[in-house]
Amino acid sequence: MTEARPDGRSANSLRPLSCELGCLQAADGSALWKAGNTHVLAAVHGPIAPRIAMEEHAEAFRIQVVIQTSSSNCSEWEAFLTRILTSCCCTQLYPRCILSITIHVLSHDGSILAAALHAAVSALMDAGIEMRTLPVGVTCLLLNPDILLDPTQVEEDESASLMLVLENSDADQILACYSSSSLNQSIHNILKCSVVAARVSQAISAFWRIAVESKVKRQCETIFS
Amino acid sequence: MLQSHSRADGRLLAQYRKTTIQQGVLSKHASGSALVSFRNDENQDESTSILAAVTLQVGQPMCTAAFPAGRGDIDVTVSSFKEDDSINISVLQSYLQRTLDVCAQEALEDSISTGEDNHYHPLLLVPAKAAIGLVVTVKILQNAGNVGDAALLACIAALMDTKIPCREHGISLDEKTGRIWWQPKGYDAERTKEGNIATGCRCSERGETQHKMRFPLLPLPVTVGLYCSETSELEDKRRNWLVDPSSAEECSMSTMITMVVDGHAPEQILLLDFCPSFGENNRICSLRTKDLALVAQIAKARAEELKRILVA
Repeated sequence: MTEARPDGRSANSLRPLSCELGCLQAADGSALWKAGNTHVLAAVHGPIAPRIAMEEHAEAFRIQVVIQTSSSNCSEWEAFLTRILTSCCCTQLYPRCILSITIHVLSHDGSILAAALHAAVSALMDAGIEMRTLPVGVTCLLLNPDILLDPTQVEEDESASLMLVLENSDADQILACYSSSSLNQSIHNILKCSVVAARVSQAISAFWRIAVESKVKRQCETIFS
Repeated sequence: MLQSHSRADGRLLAQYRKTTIQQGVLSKHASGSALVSFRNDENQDESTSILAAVTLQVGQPMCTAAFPAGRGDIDVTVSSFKEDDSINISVLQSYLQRTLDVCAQEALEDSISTGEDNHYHPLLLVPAKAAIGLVVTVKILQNAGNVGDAALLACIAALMDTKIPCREHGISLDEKTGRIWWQPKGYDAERTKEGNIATGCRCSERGETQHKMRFPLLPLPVTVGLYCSETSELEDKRRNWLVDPSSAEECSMSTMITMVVDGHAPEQILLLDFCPSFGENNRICSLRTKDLALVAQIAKARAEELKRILVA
């Protein structure tokens, strides 16, 4: 039987989610994503013309991701998120432009990369950037034989974690993967994570819908009240 | 290339370039060193060459909540011989740091006298007081693709070439001076009562008693590229796999998958990283579960081959 986690959750449950769209007036799109005590703020600026002509691509816009955090893996995370978001956005709609995404980690309590991805996607939705698919990231902690989802910092310090990015909440469409340190697991256990993650990612997709609907409803009330 | 199943450099899709590993190339200046090359026999000018050197230091370990006694560190620094926009140095450094961290992990040692299992950290000398720090310097001499695999292999070979002081002999720390003393075999503990420091043996970086590093886990990498074409109607036919991509091939891949497995038990996966590439076709190509199972088989075979080359 699985032991209860320090915060009382079961192995397959996420921390309480919160998403506030449009929290920054100066940005073209912004989002504050909270998962338990992990708080991440993302701001989108663009598409705008680049300052240096060499940075532009003739056929598509370029995405730049900057993550403000004290973690030593910052540069890897930036490259990882840049590639995922570039593949998911319809970049051919804005040629010769740059889209700048700045991510601030306000509070660090585990599963930072997934929270950063969700905050960036939420900010892109707020900015009205068209996307082919919504990537959903789920962090899994592999403790034989259990798989713990959405681990906190205390849990991540004890064991290695694996973040899977799924496309369309489908276990058989894994867009990207990032492992924090030594997993020492068989491929069978890793594939089990994708099945568990797919179930949970549907909840995150549904939560996004609620967040966008509440934002649109709030804006309509303001305009027509 | 896809129709003929051969590449621009003449290799088949499942064919690796010739891997050569030379250890001890900088034996005068470094504690351990290695030169790794991925070379194509037909065109020897285009090869990926990486040089790694290890420097040994002894100091006070960093004690954390996870490791209250400390455990020693392996720090990696990467640089390139000439400027190359295709390599992101900071990303490569972070990847190597994350992977080499497994080498400082806890190991299991059988005690011959008592027959019990003893957990220990290979780099920890005196708990909370003294540990070994290894600084690995990686130099990219030439880049013809698959730099990540070559760099990790060079680091592992250099660490295997490094000699560290033995733990089997008694280790004591003189807290006043900060010096570490190794007691040689047959040393009589009664002599210390005389208070004569000269009876001890002074520690140096290459001490009298040293041995090559033993790895509890041996990380061995493989990078596989996936190219998704739109020509075929069948999903399986659209996917084309190739191993050990060259720098020209890396630009056109849909996804690059890097899997690091344990050389002692190749079924165990230590690291799994993949994300979409900036391919020319800009088409999303997600992986399926059977794709990952295929990559695991490729990684297992490659790890066995690399282990044979390292041990030889």
